[in-house]
Amino acid sequence: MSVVNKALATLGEVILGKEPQLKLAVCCMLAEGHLLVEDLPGMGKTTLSHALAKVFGLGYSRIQFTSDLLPADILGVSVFEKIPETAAKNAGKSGFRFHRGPIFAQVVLADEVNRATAKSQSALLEAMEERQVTVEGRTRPLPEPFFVIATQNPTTQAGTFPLPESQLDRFLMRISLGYPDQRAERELLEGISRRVIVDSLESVIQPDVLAALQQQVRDVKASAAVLDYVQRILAFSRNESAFHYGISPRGGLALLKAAKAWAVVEGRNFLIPEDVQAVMTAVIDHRIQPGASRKIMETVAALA
Amino acid sequence: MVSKVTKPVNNIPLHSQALLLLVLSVLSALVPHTGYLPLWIYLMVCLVLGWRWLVFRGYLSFPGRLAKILTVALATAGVYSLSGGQISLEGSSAFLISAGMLKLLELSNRRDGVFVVFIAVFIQATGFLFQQGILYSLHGVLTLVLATAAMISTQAATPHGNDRRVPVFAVSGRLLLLALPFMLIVYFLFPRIGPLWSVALQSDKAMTGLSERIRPGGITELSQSSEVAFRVTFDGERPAQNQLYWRAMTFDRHDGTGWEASTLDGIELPINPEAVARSYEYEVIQEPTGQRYLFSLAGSVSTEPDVTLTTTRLLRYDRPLYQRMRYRVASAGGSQVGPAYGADRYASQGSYLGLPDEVNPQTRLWAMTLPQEAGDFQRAFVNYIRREPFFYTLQPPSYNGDDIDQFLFSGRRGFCEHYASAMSFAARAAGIPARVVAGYQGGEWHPDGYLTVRQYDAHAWVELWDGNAWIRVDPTAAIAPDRIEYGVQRALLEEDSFLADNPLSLHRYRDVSWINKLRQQMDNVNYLWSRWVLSYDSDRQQGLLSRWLGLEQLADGLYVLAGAIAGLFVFGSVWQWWLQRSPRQSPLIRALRGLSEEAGRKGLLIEAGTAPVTLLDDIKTAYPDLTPQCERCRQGVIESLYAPEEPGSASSADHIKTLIGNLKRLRRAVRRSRPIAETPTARNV
Repeated sequence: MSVVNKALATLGEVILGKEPQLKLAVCCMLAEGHLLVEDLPGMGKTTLSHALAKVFGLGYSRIQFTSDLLPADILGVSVFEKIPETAAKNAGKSGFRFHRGPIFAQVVLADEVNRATAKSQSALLEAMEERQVTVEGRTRPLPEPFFVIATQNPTTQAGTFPLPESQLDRFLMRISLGYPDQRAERELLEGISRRVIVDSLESVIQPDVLAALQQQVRDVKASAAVLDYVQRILAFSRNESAFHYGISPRGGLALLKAAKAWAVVEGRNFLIPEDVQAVMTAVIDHRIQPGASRKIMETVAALA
Repeated sequence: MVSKVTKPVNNIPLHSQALLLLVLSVLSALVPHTGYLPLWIYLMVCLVLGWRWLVFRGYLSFPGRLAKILTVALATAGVYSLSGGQISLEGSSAFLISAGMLKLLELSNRRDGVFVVFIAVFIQATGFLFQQGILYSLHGVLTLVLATAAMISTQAATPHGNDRRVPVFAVSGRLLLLALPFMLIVYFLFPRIGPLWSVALQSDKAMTGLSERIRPGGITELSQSSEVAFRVTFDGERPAQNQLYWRAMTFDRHDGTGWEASTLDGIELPINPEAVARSYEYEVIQEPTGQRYLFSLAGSVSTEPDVTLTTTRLLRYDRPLYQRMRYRVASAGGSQVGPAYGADRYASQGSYLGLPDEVNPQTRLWAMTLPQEAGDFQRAFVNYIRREPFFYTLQPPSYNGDDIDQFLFSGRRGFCEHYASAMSFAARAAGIPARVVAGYQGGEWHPDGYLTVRQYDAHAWVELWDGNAWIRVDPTAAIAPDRIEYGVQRALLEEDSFLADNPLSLHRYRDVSWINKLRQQMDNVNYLWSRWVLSYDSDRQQGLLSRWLGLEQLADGLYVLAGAIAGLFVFGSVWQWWLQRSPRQSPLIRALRGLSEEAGRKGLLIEAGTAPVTLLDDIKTAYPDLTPQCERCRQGVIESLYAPEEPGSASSADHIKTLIGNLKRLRRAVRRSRPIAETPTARNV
């Protein structure tokens, strides 16, 4: 049993009956991408992210997004600290000291990211892209590896600020867990609290193993046939009128990276089209505008 | 990934570019109609466009139901008043045009746009009933380009305007160019059927030409028009300018105020004419007149079908001329019309002498004093009008009651019809059979050798019976020799009344040499246009078919036409297929596709986009006994398509060859297997 499969099995003990989603989440980690989990409250989003951090043995912090959250609450703030003169060791060291915010962790769980205002959202999303934060003119690198697992409620729910397309693009994958099936739910109801299980989880993949896996992902060979296939998909999304706009080049790179991670999870060092198909929905879904919304826009324009 | 093709939506609002092009194409289609449209239609066009503009700017809303009903009622009433309740061509097309204009008022979405494109094209097509000159034809092409561009722009509409930035004019031009071969085929091969029915095509004024009655002022009106009446090309020798008397109608009954057309013009000459000296042979292209008369010199015969020679020695067509017609004539020329036969002969003793009682007593008395022999009478009459101060003028005083008395003895001013009418009257009073002949005299020679006769060349003269034959006598020649030698413009030089109503007519400026040259060039182009393009009729079509294709029957022509059109479509679709065909698939892909189809036939559920590995796995699940073969193929697919090449392994070409062989074997194995009822269990994701 490979180390990846062992990690999947461990996760499966916490999140019941959601193997495909768990596999995608692990892929996302292997592909060094950020993960967006979209679902209704209470479907196990937080538990999943917590369990992921544990299984990968990574430092973990959590930010609960609210509408009055400020960027400083995420990034950190400088506070003036007065050290008494008498303290010989630290004499004259009075001054501003930077208190790191919760963003300085290997796995950051941004809970209900779409409850915060655009200002705070963009503080997080900038950090995701740059993997460093700049506060008060000083640039501070974030720890390695750095993952953001964001959860959001469906945008149809009240009190949400939907993430703009440009920021959705920063997440490698968007998955949703959905209701458990009957058997899994029964097991959930019979068993002990998930939180307890999560707390007792042991780390399965050590950071150096993770780095090696990530290197394996980079080394996966994509043959000309598969690249042709990916290009056909991209061209289709751009030319077909069913979509308002197609997949960006960044989206294409993301698709390939995720597919490579899937191949590694499957234990291969080369890509086959099935890998692309497996990750497609999760990678593509939040990057294209389906024709449906286009139709709505046309209707609105006709009414105007 | 399943795509849903969106259906074209008809209620997409039109953007400004499409609106502008639609309006422009309708306006452009109006141009050929400008000759007869009443003023209120232009007023309506302005109103409609103004309203639509205000709607576009958001100041007004689209008209409501009541306003629409009201405008339609108004337009209908306007058209009714125009045609006086009769169905005429102008009335009908004015109705079409006003309806089309009103449609602009409610032009809002794509469906309306398509509709308006059709209207524009149709209005343009009806325009050819009125105008067929080359400039109008070129203008028709412009309208087509505009309308097609409007259509493309309409179709390219998205909620945000012409978002796709379709170069509408380029596409429209390309489309029309592509339609060109089709147009040529239809032009050359479509059967030239005569009109199936005739509407009272034109109201009196619209078609200028001779009328059924010579009354004072009738020809004067014609002389204000510079429209072409007909064109003549002589084969060999040309007659002298002063011998160009183009006979069209005779008038033999004086009813007290004017001369009525002879009923003998409608009677066919009962015998074959004696051999006519074929001094001149020529081809006439006659503009539509709405009547049956044709033009010829004296002593003519024609072998055209449906053309008859009347007792009055005129050529008649067997139905009114609503289309341009070309016909060949052979004529003796000269001033001798020839002997009389049949009804004409009897009439020369009777009805050609008849005069109404108590009209023009003074002329009758005077005529008694004139000689009773035709030649002498002519000399005496001509001497009289030369001696007295007669004038040739387009602006004669108005004569009422005994008009010939007033003209001969007090007014002494008149146009050709006055002279001809007075001379015939006097001749009859003197006991010499006489009739008035109307037609055209002269014409303008074009440097390229053909003669253009215009409405202002209309003329009336006299034919006297000298006991054996009809002789042409032209009193106008005595008073205005310039009219006969050089045309009406020269004759009226001092009066400056030539085309007085049309100050802009280029014909007024014949003395300015460059204008004259320009006019003649335009004339020439129009002549060539009507000779080679417009007068392509069934005869020439037949000639062309038999010469080029060896066909003798029109029906054969129809087959050729059908074949040509079908050929065009087949060619078009093959070409389209050639352009759109998917790139040639490699043998490997074809082998995989064949396998997939075979499995599908066996009942295996193959989703669109199933990749080879999954396909093979599915087949393996469905047919466990084929597992080794499936595994072998799977391995082959991965090695040849996906896996990194390992150094030292067999060349990929060999790999693929083996793989294709394996896939084909597997396909045969699947074909031999039993069908499966159930599909394999659904795969993840």
